Amino acid sequence: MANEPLPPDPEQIVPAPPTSRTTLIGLAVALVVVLVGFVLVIKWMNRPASLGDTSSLPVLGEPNAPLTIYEYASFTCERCAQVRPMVKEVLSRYPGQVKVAFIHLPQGPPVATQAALAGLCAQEQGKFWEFADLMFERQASWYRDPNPLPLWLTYASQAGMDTNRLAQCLNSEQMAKTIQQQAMMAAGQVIQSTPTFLIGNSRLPQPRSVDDFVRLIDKELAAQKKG
Amino acid sequence: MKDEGGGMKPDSSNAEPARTKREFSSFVHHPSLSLLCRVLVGGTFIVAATMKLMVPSENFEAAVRAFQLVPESWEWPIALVLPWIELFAGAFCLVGLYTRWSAAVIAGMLVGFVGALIWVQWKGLDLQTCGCFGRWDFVKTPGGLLVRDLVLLALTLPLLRRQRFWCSLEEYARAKQ
Repeated sequence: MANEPLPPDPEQIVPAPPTSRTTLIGLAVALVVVLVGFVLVIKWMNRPASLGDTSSLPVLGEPNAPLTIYEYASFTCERCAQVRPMVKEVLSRYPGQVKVAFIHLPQGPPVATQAALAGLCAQEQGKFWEFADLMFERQASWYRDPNPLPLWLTYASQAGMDTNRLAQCLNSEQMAKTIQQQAMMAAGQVIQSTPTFLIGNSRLPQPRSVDDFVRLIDKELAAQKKG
Repeated sequence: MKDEGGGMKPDSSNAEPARTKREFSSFVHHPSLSLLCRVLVGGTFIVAATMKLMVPSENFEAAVRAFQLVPESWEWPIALVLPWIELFAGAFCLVGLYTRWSAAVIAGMLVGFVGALIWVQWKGLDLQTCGCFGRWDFVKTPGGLLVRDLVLLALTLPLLRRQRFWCSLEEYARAKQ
């Protein structure tokens, strides 16, 4: 048994007979056509949906500005905090031409959703941007705090909000539904990371500099003028 | 070895290791194992490419940017082209057409991915996502991603040595001749 020779592997030992090059190329072309068709179909099936009703979103900048930038962000996202100065710079460069609408996309730990709820509650009191600025500026202070509510209440007070109303609002079912609706908005737009900005028909995930915004804004404003 | 009456007898002390080696070689070169490798590697690349191609390319561009590995002007072309290369290489490998070439392309990409992940570890970058499977990636840590890519690379290497592939379009084309 020990000396019995093993059967040779024909695939290794017998040299491969030649194959018709034409047949192989024909099969390859057919495969490429099938794959391109497949990709076109999945792209069409997953095309971004319309944003829907955006009238309830908090807006920064001139409300009648012709171009709206939709910002998908989370209070817990470090990069979102880093791009805040860029957003303000963009608004100052395009006065009356551009406005920014904020959409919550809480990702990561449960505190992200709680923070987004606090943001909606601030919006209810007409103090969203003041509260958002404080939340982003002091993100490092509260992000890893197991109970960040006292800090949030401090920020709310500094933003001129009614802190008792905020504490009650955080348990509101309506606000939780709004967060879900905004998450569905993000899913419909195939947003996968924060911050992502929708500028007209263009999208800008995780911008590096104001120039990234300027390039797309100029393009969209030019398209609006032509259209 | 000792000559007894003109016949050659194997040295019993070397016979077992030699046999084990041949059995291992036979297992490694078994046609069904190469088919399994093609299904695993090709299937993984097809799924990864599909996950990237079904979303806007800007999403993958952001993932490429997060690696901080290539110049800014390369990010968009990579985001645009890489998923297509993954799809074609994966599909050609899976169906067994230009199999060695497609396996070589896949191996090249995997070496690149491993290098990129080592770079991420070395730089201590915090990736939101590697972009490999879009947001559906279940492996989150650079270490886990590195292991996955090395396993895939190990599965690809046997395909580079073979000339013929069982249950492949290449064999179908030969049979048709």
